[in-house]
Amino acid sequence: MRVLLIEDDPTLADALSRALRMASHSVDWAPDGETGDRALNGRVHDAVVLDVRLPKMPGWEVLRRLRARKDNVPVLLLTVCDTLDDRVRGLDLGADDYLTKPFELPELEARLRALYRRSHGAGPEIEHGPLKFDNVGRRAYVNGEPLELSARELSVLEVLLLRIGRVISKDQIGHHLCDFDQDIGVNAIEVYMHRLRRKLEPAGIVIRTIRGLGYLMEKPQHA
Amino acid sequence: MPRPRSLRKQLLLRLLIPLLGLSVIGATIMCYLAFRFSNDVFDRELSVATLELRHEILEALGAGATVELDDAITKEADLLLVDRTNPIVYNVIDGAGAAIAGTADLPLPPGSGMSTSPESDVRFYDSVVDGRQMRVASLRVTREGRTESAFQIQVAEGINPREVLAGEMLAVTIPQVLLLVVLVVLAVVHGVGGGIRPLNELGERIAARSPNDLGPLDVGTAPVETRYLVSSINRLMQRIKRFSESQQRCAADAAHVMQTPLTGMKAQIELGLRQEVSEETRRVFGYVLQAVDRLSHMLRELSVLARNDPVLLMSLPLAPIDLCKLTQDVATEWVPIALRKGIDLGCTPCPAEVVIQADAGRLKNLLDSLLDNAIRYTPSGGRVTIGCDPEEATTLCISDNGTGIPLEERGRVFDRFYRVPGSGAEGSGLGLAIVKEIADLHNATVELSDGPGNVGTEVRVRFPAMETASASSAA
Repeated sequence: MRVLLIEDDPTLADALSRALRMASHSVDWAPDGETGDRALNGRVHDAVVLDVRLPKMPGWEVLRRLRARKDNVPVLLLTVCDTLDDRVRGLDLGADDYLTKPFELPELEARLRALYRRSHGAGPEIEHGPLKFDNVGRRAYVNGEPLELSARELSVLEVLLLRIGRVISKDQIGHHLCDFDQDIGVNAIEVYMHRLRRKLEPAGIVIRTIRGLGYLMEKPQHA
Repeated sequence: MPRPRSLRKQLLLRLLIPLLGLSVIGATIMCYLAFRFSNDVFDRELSVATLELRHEILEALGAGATVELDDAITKEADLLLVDRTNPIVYNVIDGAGAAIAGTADLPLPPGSGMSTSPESDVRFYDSVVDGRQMRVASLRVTREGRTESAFQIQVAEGINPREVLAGEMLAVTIPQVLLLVVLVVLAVVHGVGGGIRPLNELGERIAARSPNDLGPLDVGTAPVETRYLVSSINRLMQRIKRFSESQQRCAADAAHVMQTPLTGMKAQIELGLRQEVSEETRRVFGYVLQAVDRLSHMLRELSVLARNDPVLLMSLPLAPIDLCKLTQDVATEWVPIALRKGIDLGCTPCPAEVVIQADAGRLKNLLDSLLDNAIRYTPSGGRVTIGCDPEEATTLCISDNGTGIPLEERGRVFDRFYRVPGSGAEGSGLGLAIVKEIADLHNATVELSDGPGNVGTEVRVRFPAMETASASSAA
């Protein structure tokens, strides 16, 4: 995918560009807000990494103009602000996700990937270790072997895969399952999770229960 | 350094010194009047005695007695003057100055000598006779135009009774005057005290303010004379506030902008470590990475602390927030970090909304600090639980089964930069200070105790229930 990186710090910009290129994305770098804004007018990018503090034009403004043009390209905000206000503001202005500096490179890569997937539908395939999720065929495979999963179990697995390494609450899972049934009880989700676990455990894929918060599919160990 | 001037003392001195001076002058005038009045009374009596003596002498002379006048006079005078409480002496001399009769040799009136002037009024003068202070009445008598047979009558008495009378008069009046003076002094002291009271009250109002309160004093209730002072104080506080704000903004911004190059460093090192490097290089980079993380963590805490300086935030705008929901959201963000450290981070379930008055951003900072602290000081394999207390919903409760904080350290862990000795982990010593300062801004209390089963630590942040919170935020 083609990523536009709008970041004024050359050290950070260089590292991010290289990391993204290593992950076989193509990267354009804009060192200030105005350049970024101009580049975005071309509508050629699949994702944007946008710093909030930028010379010439603040990140907020770049984002506002982008969304004013009805451009829905996914935007990952880089903030330093550890206050809620900035995040809320960013999300209100139409950012899709945010990362607080300092972050780790794999985190950025994972977020970008997730953003891309969310904006382009889940994409044809999601891979997670030995697990492969075929979004078109609505099937899951472990080491190439198809898994016996019901439609709802597949949906739960999809949600978990889309947010690998992050907590997803039962409410969010229930929300995702709404397409099938209006009343997905908490107990039902626990049942699906139990079945999923039983089927994934042999492949070494761990779904953690986070007390009082929800579930989390652990990232593959090598990432 | 000169001793500070007391306004009260100054006012009292300026009022009481003239007042006492006036009292002394008043008393002096009173003494003078007393003596003068007493003198007048006695002089009139002495005058009467002199005129009577003159009358008697003229009677005697008229009866034809020319010789042995002194005997006649002596007789008459003794009769006349004998029955007196105040002994009188007299002297009669003829025109040439020779004594005719008398009981004492009295001096002539000053400046007159044996004048040849016609009969005069009675003249009075003071004199010393035989070492006694005497008052002398002197009368020159002429007989039917015959100046050569004129004579002079002098009558004198001691001045002692006059002093006694004057003394008696003063003895009555002086205590009354003294009483008056005392009353006036009391009135002045009381009045000055009362007059200065608004100043003291102003001082008390300033002293009673919270040390963090830099808001303006209310000019409205201050007396007119102190308005200038009050408005000057207000201007000064305004300046201090602006200065602190700019300092604070500077500190927060500095800590803030440094995060970007640090992130760049961190990313570059991570990239470097993806290359084939020697074990030694990997170790070195590993240390650098740790240092960068620590630095960045401290900077974040510093910027949070700077933004939460209680001096500048006495009127933090608070809004209703679901404490339980926010706690879950923030905890969710910390789960990956906790998992990476092998810590089981969980949340107690929140059955209902728990609405408190809070500043969302700062409440998040507080939660971040609590979670960061708990995860940091809990060893791998440990357990951290956060959530609202089911018994007392507006109390936020976070517990861990880590090493715990020794009892004697619990009072100090809220100090900035204080780190529990031997705690090992690379904390900045700012985490709990942030918690305490943000809690203070929300009128919340922070308590430390042992964790469940007397293991680890439990921190409880007790927020005021809705009504009281809104009342205090309006104050």
